[in-house]
Amino acid sequence: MPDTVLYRLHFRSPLHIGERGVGLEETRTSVPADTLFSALCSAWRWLYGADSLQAELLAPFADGQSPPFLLSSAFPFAGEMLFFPKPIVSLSPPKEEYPKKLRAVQYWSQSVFTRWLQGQLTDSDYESLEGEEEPLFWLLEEERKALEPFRDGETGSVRLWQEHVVPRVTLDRITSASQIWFFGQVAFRKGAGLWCAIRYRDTALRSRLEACLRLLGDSGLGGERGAGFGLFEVSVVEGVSLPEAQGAEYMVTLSPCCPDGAQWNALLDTRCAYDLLPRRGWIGSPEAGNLRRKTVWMLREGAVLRNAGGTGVGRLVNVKPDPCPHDVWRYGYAFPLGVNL
Amino acid sequence: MPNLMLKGKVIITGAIEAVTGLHIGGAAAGLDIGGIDNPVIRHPVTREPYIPGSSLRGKMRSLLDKHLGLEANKFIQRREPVVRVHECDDEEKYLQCPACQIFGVTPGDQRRDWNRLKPSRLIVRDVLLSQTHEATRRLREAKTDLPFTEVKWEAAIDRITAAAVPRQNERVPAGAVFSPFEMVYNLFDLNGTGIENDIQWLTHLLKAMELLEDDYLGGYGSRGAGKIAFRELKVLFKSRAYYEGKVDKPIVLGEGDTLRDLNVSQFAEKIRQNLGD
Ligand SMILES: [Zn+2]
Repeated sequence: MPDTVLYRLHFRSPLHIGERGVGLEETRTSVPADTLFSALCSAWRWLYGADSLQAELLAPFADGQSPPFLLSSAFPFAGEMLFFPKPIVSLSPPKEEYPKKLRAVQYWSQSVFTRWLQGQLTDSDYESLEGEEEPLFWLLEEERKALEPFRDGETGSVRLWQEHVVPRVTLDRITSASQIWFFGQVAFRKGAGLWCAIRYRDTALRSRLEACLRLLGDSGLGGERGAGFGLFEVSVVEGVSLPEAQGAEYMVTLSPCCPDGAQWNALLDTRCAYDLLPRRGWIGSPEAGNLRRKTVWMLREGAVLRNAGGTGVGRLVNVKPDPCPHDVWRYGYAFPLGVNL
Repeated sequence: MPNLMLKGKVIITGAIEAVTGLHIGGAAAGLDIGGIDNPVIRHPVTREPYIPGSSLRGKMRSLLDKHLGLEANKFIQRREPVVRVHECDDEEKYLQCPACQIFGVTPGDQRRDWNRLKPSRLIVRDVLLSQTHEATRRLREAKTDLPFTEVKWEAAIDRITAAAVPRQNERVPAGAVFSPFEMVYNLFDLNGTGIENDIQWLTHLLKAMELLEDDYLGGYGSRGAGKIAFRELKVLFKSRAYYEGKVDKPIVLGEGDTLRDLNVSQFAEKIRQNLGD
């Protein structure tokens, strides 16, 4: 497998990642790879200029080439433990259907996820869900012990963050009259944050991508950056092997993915499962920061597809609206991990 | 396409001391009803009072606007109560306006070319109650009316009947320390014209901090509340080379217990020497 490097983002301020593009109150607890990629592109532009962004970062992703790296979405971690998106599958065997408690779950622990990839989940693994009310995480019993410091005193459930809606106020410069609006934020607890992975096919880009990531830490990720949201420190973990079933017939993606028409047939059969996710929002460039980009539908993280192999599933999608003076690229490559269904 | 390059970031860190009682309201939203007429804003996670970065930023901007004699020309809210701020509305003025350069201009009408390319230079973080200062321990142990705060009774006089209506105002007591405080300021080079303007605007930012110390933060300023002091200041410069890992540590531009100790006049030279390219 090509070099996979894992990055942990330790947030030193709350985070707002908009959900569904309506209102500012909704926020999510993961950062989709396309959001992350766009943020990296804008950091690249600040550091190396627009020409370099085009020639050195975006051009290598052009159709027909294998992408120089694959980027995962950013998911929660706590201490040493990584969490993964809940795969979009019905669990059989051994269970006929999802246990009810699994519906509320957003993330699977590394052990649960690994067993699922290997086709080795057992009945007793499901029982570990019994002890909790509306669990957000599916953890095995022994992992639960390791996360003792993250337990909520009242509910006994593992909580890595707190979500809140906070007021923001603008004051009149002359009379001090106020206008108020509301804003959703996620504050990670100490020792928890988000991780993402980059699988480098071409390591020449690595040092500059890492500079971009560190710069983003001081610029902020997500919404309300001017108010100091989304600031973080980066730690780098080398030589990671993410769980994967080697040579498997299927794969699960850790990033939203946007296959082109020609890829669809090879990716889908009756055992595959996916959710569609509209990706919309504002353009981040200084020339067009007031424009909405075109909506594009992607397969959500956790989608299970046939392991078509080849040079990479997905593409960069141009979401440039008509009045925009430049192309707007949205990242839509799968980050595949092999799974035995 | 204009070529805008980031030459580095200036990071200002420190603590904020409440020299007098501090009231930054949290109740206008009706989120925090606990029997107090005017509660202070509390951090959603810790329930401790904090200073929202947006309050600091807004107040510094407003003081700098007034200091520079800039017109409050932009309507945030047209219905009563009217809310106006200053924002330059043409390119010529904008290029010379430290307030708009530091604090930014919200993107407006897309057909007006000049509205493009207005990068925000300044980030201001929320400032939490210090977890390390002695002052916080004393506050925690003190028998205050509510956790970390005192309640002041005040008489509001009805404008028509002149009857006195008692009201309770919650305040963070004098001596409280909020830390870490952090601001991040971007230094840009537009079309190869250099960073001298950006360095000039940085000195205006420090001026705005000074203006804030001489004014007040939050409510009841006319009754003596909200006087703050910046303390334990450290101003760092992180160049591109720093982000690339070619330089180990950020450059220290200035350090000191108060704004006056910072030696701002030397910042420009230190930045020029350490651009790293
Ligand atoms: Zn202006």
